[in-house]
Amino acid sequence: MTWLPVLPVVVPLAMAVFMALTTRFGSEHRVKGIIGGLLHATVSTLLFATVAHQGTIETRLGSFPRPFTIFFEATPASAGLVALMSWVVTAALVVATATMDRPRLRRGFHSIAQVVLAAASGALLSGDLFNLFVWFELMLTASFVLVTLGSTPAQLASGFKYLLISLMASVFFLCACGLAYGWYGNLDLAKIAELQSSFSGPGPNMIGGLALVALAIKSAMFPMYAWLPDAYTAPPPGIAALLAAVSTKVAAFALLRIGTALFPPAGGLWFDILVWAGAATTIAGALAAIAINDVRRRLAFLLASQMGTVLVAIGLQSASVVVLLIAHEMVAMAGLFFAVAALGRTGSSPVARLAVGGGFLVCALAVAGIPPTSGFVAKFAFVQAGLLAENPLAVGAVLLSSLLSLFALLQAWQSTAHESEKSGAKLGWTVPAVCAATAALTLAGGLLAGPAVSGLKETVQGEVLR
Amino acid sequence: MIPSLVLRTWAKLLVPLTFLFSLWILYRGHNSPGGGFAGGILAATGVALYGLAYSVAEARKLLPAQPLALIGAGLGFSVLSGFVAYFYNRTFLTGIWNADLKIGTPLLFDIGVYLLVFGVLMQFALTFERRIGEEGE
Repeated sequence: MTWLPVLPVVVPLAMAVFMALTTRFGSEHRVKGIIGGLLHATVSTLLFATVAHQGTIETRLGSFPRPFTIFFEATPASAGLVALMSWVVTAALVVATATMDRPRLRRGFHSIAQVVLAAASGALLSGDLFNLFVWFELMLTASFVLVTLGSTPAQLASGFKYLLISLMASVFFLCACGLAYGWYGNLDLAKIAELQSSFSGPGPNMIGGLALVALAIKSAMFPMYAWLPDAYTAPPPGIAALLAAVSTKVAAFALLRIGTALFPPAGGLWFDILVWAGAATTIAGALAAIAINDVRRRLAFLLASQMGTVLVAIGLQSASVVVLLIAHEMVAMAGLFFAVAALGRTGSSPVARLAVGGGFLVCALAVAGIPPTSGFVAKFAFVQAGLLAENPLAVGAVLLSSLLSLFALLQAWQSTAHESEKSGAKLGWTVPAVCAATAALTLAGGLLAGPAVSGLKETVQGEVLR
Repeated sequence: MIPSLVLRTWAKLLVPLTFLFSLWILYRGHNSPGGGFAGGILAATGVALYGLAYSVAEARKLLPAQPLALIGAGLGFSVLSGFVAYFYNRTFLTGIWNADLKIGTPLLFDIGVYLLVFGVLMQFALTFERRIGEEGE
């Protein structure tokens, strides 16, 4: 039982070891990579099923007592996100394998992808601040390798920017960890949340501010999101899809957990800042997306805009809405990146073209929040939470940005629908199938939302805010 | 590569010395300063020096395996050491000790770290040294 939360981290690591040990000259590890993704998906789905059934599982590594141990905490929310991320990443691995060139595969794409998967799971499941930081850094380092894999000048330029900005954010994060340890005497998020109310003075505010800046940079908040579009357009689309499903989402979930534990509840200053900066992000991202012609850059700005909505929801302190938004965006944005990866390479088969074009359209509608997609459910829950918090301006900003995103995406769809077939290798059936499956998942999220949302509201509110 | 008789003679002497010293650092690491990380770095410095004195190809001959395989094996040992606890019904990474020999899974974990650090540094050092060699010639 206590072994289950460890498996989503250990299984991909073991897979990476297996790949490293079996590497011969020219090995691409296509099959092993996708099997690794499927194994991770199986393990994390099992974890989610167990947690949803029996409640939170806590694993203390090395059997040391809390708060001294490194511990993993699988709540329904975190386990659910790990499971969903795992399936989306597996889909991204399929797309990347099919669309990527051989040299990149030979330089170890699949083993690095497994490390990203392990680190992201660790960051989502970890229950203490420093452990979270370490997994986060591991994820950053591995995704830096993915951004620069292939070493084209554009990739190296954007990768350097990405690395520099992320390292700066990490310094802030590390300072917050150190101060939190000095102030509260431990790094256990749940313990800190308990101690929080009995402390006054500058400490909690300073720690909260440092953590906020760090994670806001990593989840692409408005004045600090310039690194994102380059990092998502320079590498091949398969890698961009993988990163879109992982890095900013993990940062947002970490911000939710750290915010609820570290930010002083009384002042609410940091939450207010999150609301306004998030609103600015969501509008600025959508406006930038309209102004840009290149489809992939446009998607990258829309991703930043979507993250803005999540930040507003974190600022409104409604945990269930945050989890819902993260889950929906993970699938919908990945679906858009998948479709773009397949664009113009589908060949003449009408079914494949329909799957790719239709997949793009459904995911675009989901990003804009049109029923019957998962986006509608998430945005609806968001508006509800915003009105309950009596913050109509934030709600208005998000709705306006949804409208702008819809415009940007439909324009993109129109221009891509007429795009002529590119020369180069045609894709098989796998990528269109993945596009169709992602679109179907988005639709299912919208149609079957009722029970999921009510279940989420019951469990998440208590679990994450603890 | 640097064609210096002094450096070459010393490098030959220093490779086994640093290696033995690194093993000692690795072993004492559980209770005293040292451990897999420091040991791995020490072992790598010896081979890196040998690579400078002779050539990258000669230094590669000293390695038991390709750097990538060392990295994989190291990570593998560390992950494996966590799983030993499973057979004693304990949680992942719980230290399982043999009281008589004072040897336990933390040592296995440290050996993994040692190999991993050694492999990573060898990969770095040999790549850079090859570049230095190319420019020198």
